[in-house]
Amino acid sequence: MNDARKERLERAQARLIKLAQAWAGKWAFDADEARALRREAILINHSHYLESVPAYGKLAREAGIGEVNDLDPIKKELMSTDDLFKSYQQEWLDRRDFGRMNEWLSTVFHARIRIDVTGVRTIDEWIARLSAGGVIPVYSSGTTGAFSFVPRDQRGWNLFTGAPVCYLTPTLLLEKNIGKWWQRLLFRPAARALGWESFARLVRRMGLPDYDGIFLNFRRGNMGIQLVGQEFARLFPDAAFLYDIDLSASALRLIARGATSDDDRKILADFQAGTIGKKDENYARVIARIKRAAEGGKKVFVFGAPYQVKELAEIVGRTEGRMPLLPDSFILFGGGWKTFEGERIEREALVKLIADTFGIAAEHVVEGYSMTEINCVMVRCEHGRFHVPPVLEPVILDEELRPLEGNDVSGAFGFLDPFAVSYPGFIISGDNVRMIDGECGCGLSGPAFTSIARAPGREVKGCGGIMASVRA
Amino acid sequence: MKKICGELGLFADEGAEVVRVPHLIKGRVVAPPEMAANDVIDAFTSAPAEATYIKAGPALLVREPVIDRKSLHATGRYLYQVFPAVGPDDLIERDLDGLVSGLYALSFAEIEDYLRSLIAGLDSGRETVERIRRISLRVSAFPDAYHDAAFMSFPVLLDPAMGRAMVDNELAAWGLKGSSFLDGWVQVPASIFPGLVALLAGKAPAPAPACLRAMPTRQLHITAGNSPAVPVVSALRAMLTKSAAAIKLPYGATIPGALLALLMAAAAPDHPITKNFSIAYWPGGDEGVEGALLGPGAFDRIVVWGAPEAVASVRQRALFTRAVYFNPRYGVSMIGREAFGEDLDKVAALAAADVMIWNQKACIASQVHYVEGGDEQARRYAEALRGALAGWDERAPQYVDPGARGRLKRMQRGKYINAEWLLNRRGDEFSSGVVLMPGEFDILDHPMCRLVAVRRVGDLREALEFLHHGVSTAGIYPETRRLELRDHVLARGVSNAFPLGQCERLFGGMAHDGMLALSNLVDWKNG
Repeated sequence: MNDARKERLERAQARLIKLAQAWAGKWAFDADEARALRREAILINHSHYLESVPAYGKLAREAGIGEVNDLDPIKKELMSTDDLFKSYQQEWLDRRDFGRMNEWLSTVFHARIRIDVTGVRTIDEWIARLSAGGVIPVYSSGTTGAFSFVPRDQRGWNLFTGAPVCYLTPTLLLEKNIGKWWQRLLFRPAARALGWESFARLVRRMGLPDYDGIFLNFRRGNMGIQLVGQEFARLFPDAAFLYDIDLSASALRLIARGATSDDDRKILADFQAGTIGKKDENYARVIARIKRAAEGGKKVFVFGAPYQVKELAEIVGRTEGRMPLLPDSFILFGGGWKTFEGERIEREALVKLIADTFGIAAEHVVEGYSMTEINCVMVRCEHGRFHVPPVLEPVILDEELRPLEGNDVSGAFGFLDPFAVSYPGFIISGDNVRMIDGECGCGLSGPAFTSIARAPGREVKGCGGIMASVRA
Repeated sequence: MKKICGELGLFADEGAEVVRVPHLIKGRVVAPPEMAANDVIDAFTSAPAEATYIKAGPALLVREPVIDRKSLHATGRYLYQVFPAVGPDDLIERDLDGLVSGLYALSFAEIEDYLRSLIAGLDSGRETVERIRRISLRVSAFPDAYHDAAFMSFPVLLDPAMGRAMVDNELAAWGLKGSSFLDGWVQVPASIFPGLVALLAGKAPAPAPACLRAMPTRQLHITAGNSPAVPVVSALRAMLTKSAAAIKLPYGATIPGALLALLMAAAAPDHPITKNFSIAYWPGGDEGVEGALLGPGAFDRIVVWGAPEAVASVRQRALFTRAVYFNPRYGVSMIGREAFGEDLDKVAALAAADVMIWNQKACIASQVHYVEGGDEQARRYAEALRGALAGWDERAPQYVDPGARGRLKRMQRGKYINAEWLLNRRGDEFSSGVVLMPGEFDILDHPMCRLVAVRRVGDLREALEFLHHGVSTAGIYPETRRLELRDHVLARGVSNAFPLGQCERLFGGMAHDGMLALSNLVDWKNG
């Protein structure tokens, strides 16, 4: 990408984050400006992908599409599906052929990857080697153990982790009354005065000192929901993880696909010993932390998949009865409502269980929705809508993958992500949604999802489901 | 049939948007309640676009998209079907003693007569059959030729000779024909061990003769719509085993199923089989109906065909009733390297025949072809197969539903972007094709619409790694290789290893999904 185009893109992205802050804070917000900026950034990305991302170039060549001036051809012909990021051969991973994996990853990345993989024996080592070389693969898995790898460069990574901080902060500080009074007062002037990166840094630096963070996931690992947890954990001076270990991608894959060698069996056994084998011990540890925080006058923030939050509340119920937390403690969950066993968790029942067990208000039980391929987070408001921040161009598609128009449409959720530069960010997910565009009773405007479900015939995906398979 | 339809206003106007469709409830034709056509159509106006049924008090309303038979696209209109609502008590037979003295006491010869009367009824009612066929065709997702062949094949399926072959072979035991065990008690020349207690008592009574019987059962058949023949085949098995049965029609084959209901009521209204037979539609998973049907004691056997969700759902709920599952499966083809020294087009034509079984919707239809050879040979085979499928596109052009088109696009724009796609088109739209897979292929991604995934293997034995219980059938070429590999293929869970091009073969007494189905539908009794 030439410098002028790069500068235009970065300016549009920065301005979009500012607009998203204003939108989330319910200040004056110009939806038309956001739409124009998204369009500009998406068209720049289209040109960039054409030049630099081989898989996108192939798609465009086959569709007979070159440079375009509007989004329609992109929506109709150039949106790939989320499993583009698993278009490699499983046998390469089976054979530990990470050279081939590099070649493949280069087809969905905007530069050729020439990072030396000599001596790399596991997926985890491969991810570490790539990350050290400036290519950061975030992965997610489905029930078949076929991982998606979404490669980001350093700037993409900063956007992935930093941009949501900028517009989630108003939601959490102002809507949920979280943080200290002076943080709430400082927020708006800081948001106006600082660029998004400085603002994100400031938020991380200030953190939430009167909270203890409890994370029902792994302390390290590049899987989608783990990263969200790890990113949130940076806000808390005192954070505890249910699994104080690495989430091993190799072990996760073996859980789904089965171990075939002694090496595999050892990886799997070690992982299971650290998770399933220590389940009671791990839960006892985080429950003790929650108890200590409550007794010490600290508020608590809990983060996890729905199934895990449910499990935590059930264990607390069995071992402690009720465990009232300080007011303004809150629980954030996301990552799918169904476990691998097919058990469906009902939202209302879960919220009631949490509210009863921890004595917190139902509005302090917050649900988020996102995916590995996307650079934003959608939060469910008290009116049951997952609001799409103006940093994203949602596209709803019918069964035949034709884009639908309208203010109330149902179909496959696709999106054009202006922040996806290093990989093709015009993606059709495996989720079906109903999307309503308009004003919401909560004060937010624009598109929002009122229901989210897995599209028929699509593999159960989502980090929540994967966590269920660990069953630790 | 004409008289019944006339009296009850069933299938009255073949061009109408709304048709009235009956149930057969224990031999009685039950017509739906009267409803104005506009009320039926209006009932769907506030329903979600994907809604296929609506409960409307004493009626159940179903809609299926009407397909333009020339353009092979959905017209945007629907054919609305009005059914009577059905409750579980309508379908469960509790008079076991009545069954013993009535239906269960029939001789197999009387079953054969019954089948003859149905065939005769088809002939005498051909005007009605023809009208129902034309109505059914409006919404059939199958090519015209397949749809019409299904209707024409009714007499073949109901053939008494075929029925006898099924019973005599599938229920055969002790070297005796199955029909004798179905007719009543059969004394078998067993050497009887009296039991430990008799030995301990020291004085065993003279043993009574050993007698076996294939006792009919009360059967619930939950059928699938991947072929219009499935409900008929399932019903036939119930008839052949002299069983009291309730057949749940699948969405997508309600009209052919209703034809069978009419035929039974018209051809033999007072026959014990008809009197103990129900054919009905209700939405799959409807707990109000199925809760009781799947509960303990309602039926002796539950037969489930079909979609993974249907099978899984019944498995979870029918814990106390013996169930026979015809799980979702798929077929494969194995092409030995000998094909390249012969007429490759001929081999591809054989392979295409196995692909085209029920337009690739049947669980025996071939979806993946393992080709032994080099990359160039695999490509040559794929091209030849594409040509053979193009021939079928001419002979029997197909309607590709929007979901399948979407799945194809997902494949091409996602996980399989690096595969080589060799597609046939009708205009600018997909009509059939072959995809050369560079590696592992997830069968759950397959759209089942005349698409074949070709995988190259260095040796056909390498393909054994990909065979399992989910594979129903392997068509193998050439015959020498089939005979060499047959047992290795079948040991991995595959049910059929046939010569390439012969995977749709049928004969009375053949195994189905690893079992002799009739033997699982009767209760083998000692008495």
